[in-house]
Amino acid sequence: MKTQAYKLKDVLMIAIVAVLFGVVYLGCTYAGGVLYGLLTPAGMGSLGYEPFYGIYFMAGAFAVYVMRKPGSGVIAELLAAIIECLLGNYFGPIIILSGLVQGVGFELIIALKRYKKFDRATLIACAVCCSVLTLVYNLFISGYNKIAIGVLAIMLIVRIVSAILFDAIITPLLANALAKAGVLKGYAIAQDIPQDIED
Amino acid sequence: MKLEKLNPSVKMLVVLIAVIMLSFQYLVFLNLTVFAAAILMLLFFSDARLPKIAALLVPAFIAAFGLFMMGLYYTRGSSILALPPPDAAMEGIAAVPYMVRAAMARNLYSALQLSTRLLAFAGMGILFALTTPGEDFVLSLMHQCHLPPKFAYGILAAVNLMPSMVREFRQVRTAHEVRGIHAGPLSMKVLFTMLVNSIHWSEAEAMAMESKGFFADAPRTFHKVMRVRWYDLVFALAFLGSLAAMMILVKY
Repeated sequence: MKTQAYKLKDVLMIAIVAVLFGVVYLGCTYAGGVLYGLLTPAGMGSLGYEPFYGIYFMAGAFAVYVMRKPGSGVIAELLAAIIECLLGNYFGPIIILSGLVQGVGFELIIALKRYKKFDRATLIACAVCCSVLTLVYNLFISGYNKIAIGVLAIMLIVRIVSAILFDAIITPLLANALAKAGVLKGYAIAQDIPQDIED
Repeated sequence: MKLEKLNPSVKMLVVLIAVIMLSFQYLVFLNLTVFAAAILMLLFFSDARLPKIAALLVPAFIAAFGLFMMGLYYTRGSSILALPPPDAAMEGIAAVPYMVRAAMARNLYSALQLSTRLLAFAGMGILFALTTPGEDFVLSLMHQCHLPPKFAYGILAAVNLMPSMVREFRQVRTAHEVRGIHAGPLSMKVLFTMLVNSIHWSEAEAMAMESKGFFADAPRTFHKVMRVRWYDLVFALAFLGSLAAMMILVKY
């Protein structure tokens, strides 16, 4: 990973976008809390936050989709995790470990395709790969290994649907719109998207 | 000796190693001991006060309770999903709650294993979060973990931008409401506007930092340098050593 490839402007963009998605996630935790309350009597409370899981990966997905550079997804997730840690999450530095898994999980497929393909199918593959890897991480770290396969399957499906919605549909939609509006001129994505030229 | 004095990177490494060590076991008593030790250390060896600790403990307990209920119902091998359908000839409908209760009794221990592990992790996470000033943490990442300065100062710039961002987020939503467009937290219109703002901020901020003489890849001096001292190593060895000893000695 060459850090020289990132200008200060790029780093600030990643970090500020990470904070933004963090704020969006906070906005959703209210809905997640309600869902948690409804599902807990059935033992499914931990599932309440799964529908919003895809928002966790958005910083990484956005960065790698816009910059198209090796490491951009991992760096974005790591920065997002450090920022979350600074804002006072009760998991503290453990978040950084999850951030690393999320970043690697999302960027893996794109890296295998040598940062050349960013179509819908690739992004969906990324979302699925990321969901599977984070659940494997949960199996080990959160002890989900003790939970019945059926419940884990429901969890994985909800997580995949959420990841596809937020990271393979909403994120490219937003990034393409930004590129079209000419906001992302300095980034790799701008070369692939025709911009509206206003004179 | 206060926990605040410890080097943040060492503290982070200790917590991460402890988390990985604890992930290999399912000892309820050990998990609870780690949790209690973390909270006691906070109370006696730091400036963190009870209300702040409680504010972080509440969401941790809520999450642990969710995991507890999940373990209670759906432990692998004894999940209530795997119960046979009620046998009408035998005891009728009344047999179902009985079987559910029996499964829950069997699952109680694994439910405790799952939820206490989360508490142990949260205890250590809170220990770190409440004794580590954010700026020290980032500086230490730069000095001990070789995080390049542009990332370190980029993180600090973004974090300090957060209050303005929350305000702007609210403003953009209100601006949409005024025009009769309902805008939830996930509204694409609001997100788009916020992203445009964010990218403009990042450009303006980079220009501001560079015009004040911040050069990303040039050698620089530091106003405050975080160092690893002897007591950091003592803390790491004592913490991880006693954890390893407990993992061998504690059987529950």
